[in-house]
Amino acid sequence: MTGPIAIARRLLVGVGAVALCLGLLVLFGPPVESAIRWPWDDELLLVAFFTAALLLASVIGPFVLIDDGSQNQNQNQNRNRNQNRGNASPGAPERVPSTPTPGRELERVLDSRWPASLPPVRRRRIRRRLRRAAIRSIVRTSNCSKETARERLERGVWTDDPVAAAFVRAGGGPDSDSSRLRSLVERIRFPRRARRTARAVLSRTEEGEHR
Amino acid sequence: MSRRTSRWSVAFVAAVLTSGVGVLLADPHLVLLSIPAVVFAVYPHLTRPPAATLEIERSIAEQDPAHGQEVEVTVTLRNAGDRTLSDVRVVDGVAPMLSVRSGSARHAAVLGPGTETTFSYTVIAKRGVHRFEPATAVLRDASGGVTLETTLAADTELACRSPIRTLPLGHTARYAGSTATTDSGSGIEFSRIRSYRPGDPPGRIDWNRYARSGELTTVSFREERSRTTVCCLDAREICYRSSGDDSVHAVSYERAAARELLDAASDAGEPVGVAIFGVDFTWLAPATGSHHVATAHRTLEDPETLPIVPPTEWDGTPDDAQARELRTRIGPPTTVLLLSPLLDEFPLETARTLRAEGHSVTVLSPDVTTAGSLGRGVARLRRENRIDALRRAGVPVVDWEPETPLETAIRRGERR
Repeated sequence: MTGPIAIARRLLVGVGAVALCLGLLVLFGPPVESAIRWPWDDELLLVAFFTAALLLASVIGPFVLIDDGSQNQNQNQNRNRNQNRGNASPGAPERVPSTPTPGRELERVLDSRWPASLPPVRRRRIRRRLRRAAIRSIVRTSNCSKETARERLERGVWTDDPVAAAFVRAGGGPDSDSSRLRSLVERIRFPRRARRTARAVLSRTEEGEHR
Repeated sequence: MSRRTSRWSVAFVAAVLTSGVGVLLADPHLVLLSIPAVVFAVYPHLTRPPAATLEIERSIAEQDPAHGQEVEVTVTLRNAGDRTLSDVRVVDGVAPMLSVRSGSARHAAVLGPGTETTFSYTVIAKRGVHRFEPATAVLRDASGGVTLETTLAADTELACRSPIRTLPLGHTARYAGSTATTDSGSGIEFSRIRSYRPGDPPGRIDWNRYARSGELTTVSFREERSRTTVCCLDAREICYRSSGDDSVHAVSYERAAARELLDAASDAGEPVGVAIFGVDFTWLAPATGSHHVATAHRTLEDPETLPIVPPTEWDGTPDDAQARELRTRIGPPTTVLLLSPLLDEFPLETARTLRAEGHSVTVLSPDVTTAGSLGRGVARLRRENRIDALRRAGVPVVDWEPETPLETAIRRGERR
């Protein structure tokens, strides 16, 4: 316990004790108070001391506020650094990093409670996927060729649902020269038609597998 | 990394302001009032900063757990220094694909010199070999004015293996040299006898015949070559899919299966290589030997080539270019074991193309699809359709539900 910190600690305790005694004397002994004269009468020096103190406080103050706010963030960043660089935040160590389930994109359209208005590119993609799923399901459950499955799809004999049959038929999408009104109706009806088609494909496959 | 906190800075600001105003107004009361604030501002500078003298030891209750089994992890923290650590906070580096079922992977303690503290938690074992990360420790001094953040490494692995005895379908070679070729060479099966030519090795001269007839003849045997295998992992963005919250994604299962396939091929003494479709294409040329197998294992565990935490940036080589690179790398007809969850058309097209080019292709597909909604149901159906399309194209598929042992899935696939 003879290090510089220990010496400084003892010295400061002594200074503190002396300061406390002097303070108590100033507070409770009026004669002492009158005996102690303020050492400087120069007002410029007083103002300079105050300005320096105020500047110091103004500089440090914002850092105190900012540092408190960013402390937790820094700790998280340090923890992330221990993980794989450039990868997603692992979050809490108690949990497996979250990854989406297969079919998330379709889920947003088929299982959404609210009507979704999708851009034409996405609608075409979903229609293409459902059409391909329908063809492959027919091939799988009927043990036929792809051409036969495609022909059944075009004739619409693979399902009892006329909406589903029309949805996956070639050219079942909106015409390029269709009117704005038709295009709007198609856009609004799309999720419902896709949902019915998905159900039809799933039930067709289920029936085929049980046969 | 050591840093000074702002806990006592408020006291410093208060001391400066009070004394400044006291001096300005020539009021000794205000100057005296600043003394406690000065004491608090100086206090954190008089306490000893914490030293990184913490040691960690981690033990796992079950050495060979089954998939889904709860395993208790016990962590012991020891202060190896000669000074008290007044504030120790630790977050254990649980392997990314393990989730904590009960207990907590976090702990806080005060540790005197030479003392230790123990905490434990339970994780759920998942298929694969899971390496624990270094634990993160935050140490503070008595005043809380200085924080030291450090990592504590302890080499711990939780291995939930599913060993296989045979390599999957389409792969008839079960031990080195079992692939018969039509070339004559230096095998053990008799092929033909011909007249001796200068340069033939003496060991292949038929000395019995020479003793009988005085004629020098050379015996040829059917040359036996071991088949070259390439484990090809599909770790593109779409493969980082899992069956739900806290579930392991398909790439992790692929890695677990690839490890078993590598070991099986290595045991059989066959040349085996590794290819990974990911942000960029990774290739490890087929070879044999324990050194090569160790390199292959390191490649599978490298977070740069096969990240286990999904990357955030996917601006790498396009899928088609990666498939082209694979085709240019595997020269002669090879057995390709393609590991993919089959969530898009890419593995289907790749398998078909490789097969058309004369390679023997088998697909091993971990199933991470679920039911529960229409969208998920369609995704599951599309995967089943892809499996069917592959089988119709003559590509054997092992449909692997990770709850099932890999060997069982392979045998089931062979029966189809």
